[in-house]
Amino acid sequence: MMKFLASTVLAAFIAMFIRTHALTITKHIVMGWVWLYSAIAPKEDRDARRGEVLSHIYELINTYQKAGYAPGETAIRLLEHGIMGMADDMGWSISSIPEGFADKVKGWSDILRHYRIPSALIAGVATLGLMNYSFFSSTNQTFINWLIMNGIVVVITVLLWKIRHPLVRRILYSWMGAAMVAAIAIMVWVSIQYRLYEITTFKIFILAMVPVFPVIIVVDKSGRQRFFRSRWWLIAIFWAPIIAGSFAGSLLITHSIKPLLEMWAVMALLAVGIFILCGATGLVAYGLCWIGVRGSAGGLSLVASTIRRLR
Amino acid sequence: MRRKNGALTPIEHSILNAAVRLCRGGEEFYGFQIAKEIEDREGARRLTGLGTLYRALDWLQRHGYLSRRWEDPAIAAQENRPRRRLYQVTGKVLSVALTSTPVNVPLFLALGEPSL
Repeated sequence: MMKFLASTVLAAFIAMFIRTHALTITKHIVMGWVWLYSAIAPKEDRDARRGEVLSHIYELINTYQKAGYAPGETAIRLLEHGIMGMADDMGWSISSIPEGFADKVKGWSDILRHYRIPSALIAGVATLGLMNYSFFSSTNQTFINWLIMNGIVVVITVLLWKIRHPLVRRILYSWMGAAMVAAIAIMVWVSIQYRLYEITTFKIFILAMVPVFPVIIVVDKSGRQRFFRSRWWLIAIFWAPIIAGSFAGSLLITHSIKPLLEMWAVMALLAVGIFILCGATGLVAYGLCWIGVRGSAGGLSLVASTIRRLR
Repeated sequence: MRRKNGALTPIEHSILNAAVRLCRGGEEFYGFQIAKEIEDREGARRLTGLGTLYRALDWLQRHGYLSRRWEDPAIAAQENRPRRRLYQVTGKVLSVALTSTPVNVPLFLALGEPSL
């Protein structure tokens, strides 16, 4: 009951306020619209149009008030007067766009359409966006975490952008190798620590995936060669800590190497899965960005031709 | 409304008619006066749209039918109101009025005095 009364009083107050200030509100609405559509025009035309309409509104209000019209009635006439010419306002706005502007817009469109924007840059921006979104949607994050996260993405983006440079390529491949080693080591630890191998479905899963492991180690030779650039000894250096750490971890935690052997296949699968997932996410982000860029190019081209047509 | 071969549109005709009537004594006029004149004399149900009016005035000025200037700021300040932009018809209006197309007849009649 109280709520109903309060809302009724509020509604009455708002209605009274609008009624009392209808003319002022309408005047501001009309001037706001003029301010908006004239914003694109050159300064001289813009100021002239705004000044002229301001004077017009003053004369209109003055005339109708002298003729005995109520403020509300005058407000309606003013609003109607403003709305009636909105299409022409837009037309005027387009026609007052400086000559050559359409060519400039077309130029931007051509740049987007033909210039090959580094895919790494786009993917980097998309990844940054996604990471920042997840960062802000999470409450227990610190500024340092945010800084590190964004820093890493920016550095990787720059490295990917300049991937043609041999030194950059070497740094990047080393990092990728190190990241892979770290990821696999973490997975080994997690699998053993949480005794995932004891779950029946997990065992079946492991057995089914056993053939995957040799595929990664042996078959994908060309990819491996690209990674390590024919320096085969790097493979041993990268894999030695994983193998040693895994054996040591398995013996220390479970006093047996059996779970470790079972885990290898799963680890390989997870590694492949993670890379596929990351790759797919990156590809989707890249694809979306690319569509956005191409769409913007088309949109700008459309804007340019519309301006040319309407001018 | 789409313009055909640079010809005047009906609203521009109406504006020139009203302008000629307002300028009879060589006086200048401002935008709102034109809108009011069209509403009063041509039996329009409502005022011409703001944008329509000023876009047409702009076109007429750029094509030499009207000349315009800003009012002296001192006068506006003295009367405590915003500065008006004053318009006046040019000699080109007469040449339009004297062409014998039916659409120009009202304009010709509005002119009245050949001195324009």
